[in-house]
Amino acid sequence: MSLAKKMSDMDTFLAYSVALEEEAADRHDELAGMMDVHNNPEVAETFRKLAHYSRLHAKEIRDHSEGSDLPVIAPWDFGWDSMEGPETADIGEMNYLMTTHQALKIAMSNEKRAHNFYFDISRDSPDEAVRALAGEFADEEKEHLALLEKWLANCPEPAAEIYDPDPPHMPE
Amino acid sequence: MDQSAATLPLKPKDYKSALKPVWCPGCGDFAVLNAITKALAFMELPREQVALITGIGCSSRIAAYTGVYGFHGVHGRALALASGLKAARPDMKVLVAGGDGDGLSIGGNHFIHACRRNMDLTYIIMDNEVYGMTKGQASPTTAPDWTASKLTPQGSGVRPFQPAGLALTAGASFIARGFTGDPNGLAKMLVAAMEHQGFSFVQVLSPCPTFRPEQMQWKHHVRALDAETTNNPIEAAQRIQADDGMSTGIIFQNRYPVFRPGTGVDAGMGSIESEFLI
Amino acid sequence: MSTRHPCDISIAITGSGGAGAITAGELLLSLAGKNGCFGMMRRSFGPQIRGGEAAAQVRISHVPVECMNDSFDLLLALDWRNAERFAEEIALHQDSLIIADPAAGEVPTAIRDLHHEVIPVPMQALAKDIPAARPNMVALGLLSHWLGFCSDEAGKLIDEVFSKKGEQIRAGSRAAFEAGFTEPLIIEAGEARPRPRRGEPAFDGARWHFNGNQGCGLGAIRGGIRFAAAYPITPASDLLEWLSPRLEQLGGSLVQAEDELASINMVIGASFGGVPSMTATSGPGLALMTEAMGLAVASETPAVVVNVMRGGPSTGIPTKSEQVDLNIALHGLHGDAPHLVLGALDHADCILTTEWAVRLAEALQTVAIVLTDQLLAQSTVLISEPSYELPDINARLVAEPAENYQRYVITENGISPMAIPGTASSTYVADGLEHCESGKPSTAAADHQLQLDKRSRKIEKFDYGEHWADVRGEGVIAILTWGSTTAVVREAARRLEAQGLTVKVIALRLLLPASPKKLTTELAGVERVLVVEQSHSRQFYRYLRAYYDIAVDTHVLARPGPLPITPAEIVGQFESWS
Repeated sequence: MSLAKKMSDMDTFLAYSVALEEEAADRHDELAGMMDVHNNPEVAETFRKLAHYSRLHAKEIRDHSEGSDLPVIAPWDFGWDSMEGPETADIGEMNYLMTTHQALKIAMSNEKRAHNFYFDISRDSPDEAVRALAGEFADEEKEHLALLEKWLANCPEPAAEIYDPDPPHMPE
Repeated sequence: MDQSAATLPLKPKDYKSALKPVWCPGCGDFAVLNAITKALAFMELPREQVALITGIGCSSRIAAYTGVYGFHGVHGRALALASGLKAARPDMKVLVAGGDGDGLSIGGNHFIHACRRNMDLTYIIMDNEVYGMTKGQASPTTAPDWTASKLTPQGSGVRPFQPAGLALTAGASFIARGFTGDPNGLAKMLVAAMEHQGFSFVQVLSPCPTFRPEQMQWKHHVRALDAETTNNPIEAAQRIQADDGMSTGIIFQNRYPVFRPGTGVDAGMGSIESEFLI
Repeated sequence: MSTRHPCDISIAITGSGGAGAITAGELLLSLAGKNGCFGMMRRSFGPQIRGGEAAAQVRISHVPVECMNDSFDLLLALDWRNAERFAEEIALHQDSLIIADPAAGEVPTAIRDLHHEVIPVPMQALAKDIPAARPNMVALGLLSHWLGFCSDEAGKLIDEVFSKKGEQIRAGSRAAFEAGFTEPLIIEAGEARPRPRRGEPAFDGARWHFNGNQGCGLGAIRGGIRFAAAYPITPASDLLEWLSPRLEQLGGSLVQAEDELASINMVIGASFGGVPSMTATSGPGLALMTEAMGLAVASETPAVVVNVMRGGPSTGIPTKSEQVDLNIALHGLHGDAPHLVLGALDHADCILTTEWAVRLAEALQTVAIVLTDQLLAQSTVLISEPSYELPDINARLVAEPAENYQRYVITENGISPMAIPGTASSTYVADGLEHCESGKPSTAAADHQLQLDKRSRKIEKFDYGEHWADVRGEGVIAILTWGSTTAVVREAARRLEAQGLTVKVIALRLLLPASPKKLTTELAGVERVLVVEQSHSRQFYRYLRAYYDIAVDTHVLARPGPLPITPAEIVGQFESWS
């Protein structure tokens, strides 16, 4: 059974949605931290903004779920189609010399996955209310995507390949 | 740590310190940190009841990034230090972590003896087949023909250890292999390791984007072990030998007597002083 | 009990494995204790695990003795197999008596001098006639008679010791003892020549009977040690073996480690967990431990290492004594690593010094190395009950739960409260990397300076009181020494005093941190100094030159092992020193 078909009640759907957004926010914070440590303030700032947006979205979903007792799901029991939540950036794609352009491209691909997640539910969930709310969330992700596209337009791809003139060094 | 947070169920984040890791962006070790904190949160362990003991190397820096008690000791000796802590404080949940060089080269003797001693410890080797902190030398798990190190430009010429096989022959009672590309799967594996009574060994394939960029392709090669966990060491040995080292899962788990020195009961000085009298 | 006691008799019992020379020596010493004497016993062995030649060297006296004498008054040989190996250890004097079994053949020329009277006693033959008897019990009977010990007392001791081995062996041992005790040859010999000089016992109370390793063990548990990690090494293994069941009894534990690298790290881990912890080792093991001792210093984790010195370097002479790990104990740590080094001065002092070291390590959150040596560790003494008083020392300063806990906070005395794992809110990471006050790694010059200052200050500014040295006597001549040579120096001083030369004996117990001002005070009025140590490269003398001001004429008696320095050697220094 697809994940979307398993979303048969509102609490389960909200639990997934909160986890998706909070995990994405936490990851963006983590990525911002990596870039801080590696003296890439521009991309750090980008990730911080992305964290902020994810957190806003998470709060919105939490507001939706006020009063209800969301099920507690172990991280490995979500059964995401990807290794982590759909909106969570893969640490393996990070590079300390990356540009905002690259960071936004990664964010956009994650937003697309998040959109698809909600869209599938809006189509396949057995519960009507879940389908309706998922539809709203899918639309919101679409809006995020549009915003990111605009942002990306202002951050063109660097003309030349980035290289590192400094060799790695030995801290210990 | 703020007190109110400690009384609520802790989230994985609550098990992290405020310190930002020095690991290179892209490093697998971030996922290990996340998996550990997820596992601890899932087990609802109070921060002060957990200790994370590490040696020296990139991955050994992990102790400082958690909010539990920690000891960042000397190169290769984390397991020994942790064994002392566990012997003296059996009430603590003791985790040990480090790299392949730390655990299998300089700390190799402690590794095999920790396996056979079977104290209730969980040991995580973050295996990237390279010494990162000293700028990319071959480790005991590096392929013999890896020529990118200035120290061994012709390759090390020495066949690598198979950590799972080493642990099995040394008598480990829980042997698993995880991958940082699957942090949630890794977290689940760590829960199983920590719940295991005795010494649990988890080898984590953790790519190094700086010195072993080719490892970023591991995600295309790693796969789940195509068998259930066995308690039969012969079967486990066959599986380990037949595998290319890229299958993940709990390979072997068995119940062996757990080493718990001392009784914990203080019977007082009693006759000790009078033994000296003639 | 006999009212008269041997005055000061040294006896050597030799025999190859299975002959029971060591058992006879041990029983003789116990018997001496029951007869109100003082005494000491050393053991010497060949290289074999079983069946090798062995020698028990026993000194028995009516006054306290804590070192071996210059030579032996009596040599009893159960046989002569490889006895030459001990010839240089068992120096005889002109009037020495030899008791030997004629069945064992001629007395080897390496041992016998023309002056020596030999009493042939067929110990083997006497034992053979008694079921389950061994010649060593015949020997014990002979010696007990010669020393004037009471045979009833001896009988009780033999019953006590051998009843565990079964009735036949007990009865046989007792009968063999009686055969020796009533042997006409020894009775005749006693009548024909002067018996041992006799005197009144100086002290009539109970005797303590222990070796230095046991003394260190007792001091350790008195100090609060409840965890030990162990890797076997001669001559420290018996200390670890002594601790194992006793720690268990006290609710603690001992873990046998895979090597010394592991044992010291286990100690650090257990101590991090809040339990006072130690290990014991000898030279090569200490060398392996020095890396982690640096970690204990940097992370401010209390750790105690008892190092029983043996002949070195490398495997050296593991079964013999030398004072040669002083350099590595003082200077073997990497980096600027202030720590404590203490040396036990005699058997009783093994208890005091180890307890003191444990308390200091705990209070100052640092490494304390206690140096003893094979001679102290593996020789047994009979002394009156040791009593001492240590100054009040605070226990480890433990942190209460606190927000924003700073493990390495800068304090006036350099000591920071230590959070014990399990304490809520105060989680921290102990680190061997240089760190700031919170424990976070730091390479900042200011942090390095502050932490170095702090770690040095807590040790340098601490008031160690009067125990830094043991000072006895007065005089314009002082003998400076440390460790097991102290007892020999004290005996030499007594002899010099009898000759009209009073000597001040200063034995340094606390070696690091050094106490130069205190020594200067003690040396006021002293015109000449003799330094005594058992080291080829004069490690102690060099240490004195490095840390203290000794502005007067100084001579050095320094020589290597394996033969212990004798009182006569020290007295001889003054004959040639004009």
